[in-house]
Amino acid sequence: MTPRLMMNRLLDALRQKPLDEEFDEEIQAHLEMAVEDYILHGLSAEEAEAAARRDFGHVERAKERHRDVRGFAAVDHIARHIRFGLFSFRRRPGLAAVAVLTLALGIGATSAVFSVVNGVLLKPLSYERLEDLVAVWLTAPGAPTGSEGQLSPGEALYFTAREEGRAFEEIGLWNTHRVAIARGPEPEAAVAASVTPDVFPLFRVAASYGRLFRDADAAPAAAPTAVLDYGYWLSRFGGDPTVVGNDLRVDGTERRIIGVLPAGFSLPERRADIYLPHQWDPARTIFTVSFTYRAVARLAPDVTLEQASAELARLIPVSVEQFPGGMKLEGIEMIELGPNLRPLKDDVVGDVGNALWVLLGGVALVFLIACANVANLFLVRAEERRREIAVRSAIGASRSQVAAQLFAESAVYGLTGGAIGLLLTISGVRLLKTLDPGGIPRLEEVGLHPPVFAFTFATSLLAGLLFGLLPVIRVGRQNLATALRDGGRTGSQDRRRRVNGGIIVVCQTALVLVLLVAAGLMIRSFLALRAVDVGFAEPAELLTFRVRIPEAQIADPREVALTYERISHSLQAIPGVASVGASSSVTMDGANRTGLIWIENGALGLDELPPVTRIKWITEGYFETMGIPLVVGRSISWSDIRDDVPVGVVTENFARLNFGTAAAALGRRVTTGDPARPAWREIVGVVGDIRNDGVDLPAPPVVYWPLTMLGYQTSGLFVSRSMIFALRVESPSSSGSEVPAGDPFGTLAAAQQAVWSVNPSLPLSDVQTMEGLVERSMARTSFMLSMLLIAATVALGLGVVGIYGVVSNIVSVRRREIGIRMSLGASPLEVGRMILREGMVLAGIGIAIGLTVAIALSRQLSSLLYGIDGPAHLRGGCNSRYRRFDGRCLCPRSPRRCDRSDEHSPPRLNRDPARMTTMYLTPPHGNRLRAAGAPRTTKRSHYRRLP
Amino acid sequence: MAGLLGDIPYGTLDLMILKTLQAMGPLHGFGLARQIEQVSENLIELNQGSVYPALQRLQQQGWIEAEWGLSETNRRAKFYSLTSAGRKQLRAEVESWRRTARLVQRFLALET
Repeated sequence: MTPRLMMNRLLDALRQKPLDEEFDEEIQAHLEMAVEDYILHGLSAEEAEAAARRDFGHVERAKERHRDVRGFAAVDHIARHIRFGLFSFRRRPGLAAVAVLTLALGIGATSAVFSVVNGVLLKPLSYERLEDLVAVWLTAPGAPTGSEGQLSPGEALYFTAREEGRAFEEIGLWNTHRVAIARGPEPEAAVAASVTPDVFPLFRVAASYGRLFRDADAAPAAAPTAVLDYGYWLSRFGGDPTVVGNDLRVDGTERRIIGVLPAGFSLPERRADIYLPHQWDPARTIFTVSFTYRAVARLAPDVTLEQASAELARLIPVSVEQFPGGMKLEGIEMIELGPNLRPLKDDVVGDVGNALWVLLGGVALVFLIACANVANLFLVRAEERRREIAVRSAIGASRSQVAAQLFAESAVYGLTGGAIGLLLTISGVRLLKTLDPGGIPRLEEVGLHPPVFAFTFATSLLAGLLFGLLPVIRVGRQNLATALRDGGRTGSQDRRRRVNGGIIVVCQTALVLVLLVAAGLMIRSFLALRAVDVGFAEPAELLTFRVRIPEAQIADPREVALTYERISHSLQAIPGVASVGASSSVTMDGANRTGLIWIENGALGLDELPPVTRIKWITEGYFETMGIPLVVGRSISWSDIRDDVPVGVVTENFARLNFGTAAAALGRRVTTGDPARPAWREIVGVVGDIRNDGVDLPAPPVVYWPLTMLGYQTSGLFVSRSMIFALRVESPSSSGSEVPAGDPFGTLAAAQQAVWSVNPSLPLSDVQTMEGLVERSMARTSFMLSMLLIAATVALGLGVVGIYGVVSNIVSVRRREIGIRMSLGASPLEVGRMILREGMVLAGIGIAIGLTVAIALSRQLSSLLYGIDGPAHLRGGCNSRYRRFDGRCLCPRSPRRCDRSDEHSPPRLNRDPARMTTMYLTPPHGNRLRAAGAPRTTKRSHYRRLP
Repeated sequence: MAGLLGDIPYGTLDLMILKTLQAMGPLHGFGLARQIEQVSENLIELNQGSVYPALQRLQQQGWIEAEWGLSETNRRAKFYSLTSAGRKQLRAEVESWRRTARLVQRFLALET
């Protein structure tokens, strides 16, 4: 096609209507001229008219071909088919509504989950050349068991990689922490990210105002600076550009604001309000490994992950030698310290991917069930329209034209369903974002992006194709002559129809079963999680918040400890507060401090590396407040803290692991910090284990130290400057015992006043109840559970409706056969049995297929389950009972339909529910049609014997 | 395609229309159809209606153009005439037909 032809065609296609009218006029003129011509040649008016028409040929065909030439024939045909499809909407509004709504449900659910998958998994993190970014972690497979948590590069390795590494264009380290920002009368808590100056170039981000950090800002002696997050700048500084250059008091230090980041920028996984430069002094750096930092590097051009890994492995010992004072070379070798590089995207998304794919699979099943339902509706309708289609074929429509029309109709249904489904998607996504189930990274990226629209469109078309297929196949096989004859239905066609219906029943049963099994496994998993003893009591009564005392505010560690003690006493005085305690980290808050614990006269010498163990610093009253049981010995008191008594408390599993029993731990001594100068501390108590990392993770051993310690890290007194206070709030009328606990948040204002009465510049942050923390820990399971439950419920509803539709359709097709059977002496009960039996056979096949598929698929689910092994659990076979009632609720209605068969008026079927159950129990075999007068088979008595 | 055009050999209707328009000047559809029938001396059976899609196609190619005018009996009719592109196309097609005819002629000559 030449461009000119293309353009002319396009122009013609755009003005179909005027051209149609013009062409009508032209034909009219043609015919009139021809008539006149014939009359001139001596024909009568009628003869001339007939001759002219004969010469011209088929007028409508000429018009049609004219139209084809003018426009794009295909487009034109499709438009016509669509018009026809819309027409069929009007003809059967009820059917259309059911079909469209069913589809909308299926498509909407699938698209909603896809939009999450798209946002979280498929849409790239919005960093330039993401594929070059790698998350840098370290591994230590040789470290003693019990070490957990991820190791990352420390300051020393950072300096070494920066100076000597060639595989990385940049490498940046950061950690996030909380700071107090003083603007106005009350201090505010904010999230700060301390970054090395390479972090921003690494992510290829430039300042929207001012500038970002330079190397000079990271010098140890440089003036303190800060960069603001765009959102924080908008909300707290009103988006005022002149704020750049001003000073801001962060944790008691005056910092110059040098710039503002652009909108939309965030470090992976966590948004910070304010960014501070790490001002590390290479001369005082010793650590090659850290537990604190996150490191990301950008690979140099043409460097592979393996090459970068190899280089980092070479640099680790170099760093140890260059920055002595930390780990020894032998230590590095012993724990087999090595690099662990992962593409940043994999690192951020993690195993949530698996959960989301499972969900997408789940809703895809719902989608298929919806399609099967609509396919059945269409099958019934195609049956009704057999004559219409036959007439159409008789007057010259080719099979492909009929098929195209049927497809176009189903496409119209599919697209309409898709359009409504899109509305469902929009509200679904909005709902999901408000609920924020937790555990889904990058949820803010989820939304209606172009791929989601494309996906919805594609599923709509696919739906149309799927449920359009069966009727088209049927029409293709149709025998024109029999179809045209009134009521001319042949046995073979009925059989085919029953086979088609049977396929739908089996598929739906299997699909529904798979979903129910998945939901069932999630329920088991959820119940198992709920049954877990988290290690502390009544989380709903516990209010927790963090109070930090930065060095700039109170420098003296002793004074810090005293401040915490005063806060504790003043909190204790609040009415309704039963007890108060504080810890550097509470259960499940994700703030993990770890350390190396050596045991005096233990299995490992001081020159060997012990397991990495969780450590927490606590105050008096912590165990009592949390409800963590004291197994043996005593707790830590304020006097221990005031007098620096060298004591510690360990969890029961730590005691068992190292000393055999809890009691054996008492009086033993342990130390942490520098093994060359051990400061031994006596174990004075053993407490219960806690699920520190989440409900679904095993309880790790924990060592509790008092708030202040001598001889830890620094030569002077160490104090934990960030403590979480836990308040157990009981209702004032606790004497009644049955009264529910008071609202912990109700005491928050009083708690704030209590803290400020001790020191007015200390902000409270991270306010939450322990119950909130526990729930968040179970969020992923409960989210998966509710999503799968919704999917399974919708699937069950759709499936029951769909199977009922198919079975009743089959029954109505067989009215004639049933009539014959009855006239030959079959009782309604027998007919009912026959239909039930067939339904049960189909359901049975479906259950078998569904169970097989479910067992295969449950392996996919295994990583999402807690406390049960998916496949093994299923093979126990307890789940098939989920499906059975389904067969029961679809079949009993069917015999009633056959009662209404109009050939006869047999006695009505007894619909006694007990009998129904009996029918349900009949084994699915035997009992074929019995001819009139034939002797009753023994099988009859077999049924009689049933209860 | 042959079926659609009655018994007119494929591709020849366009040529016939262009040649007739060149010989007779502007014509309306009926005149054109009648003229083709007369020239072909009923060797082909033409559905008169089938010239219209062809005319439309030629118009889109830019080889002919159409204009409403008055017929010899003072009836409003659409008159088609050749454009200069159409003349060029006609020359090319005539040349190609002649070549084809010569070629076929030679092979037919083999038989005698």
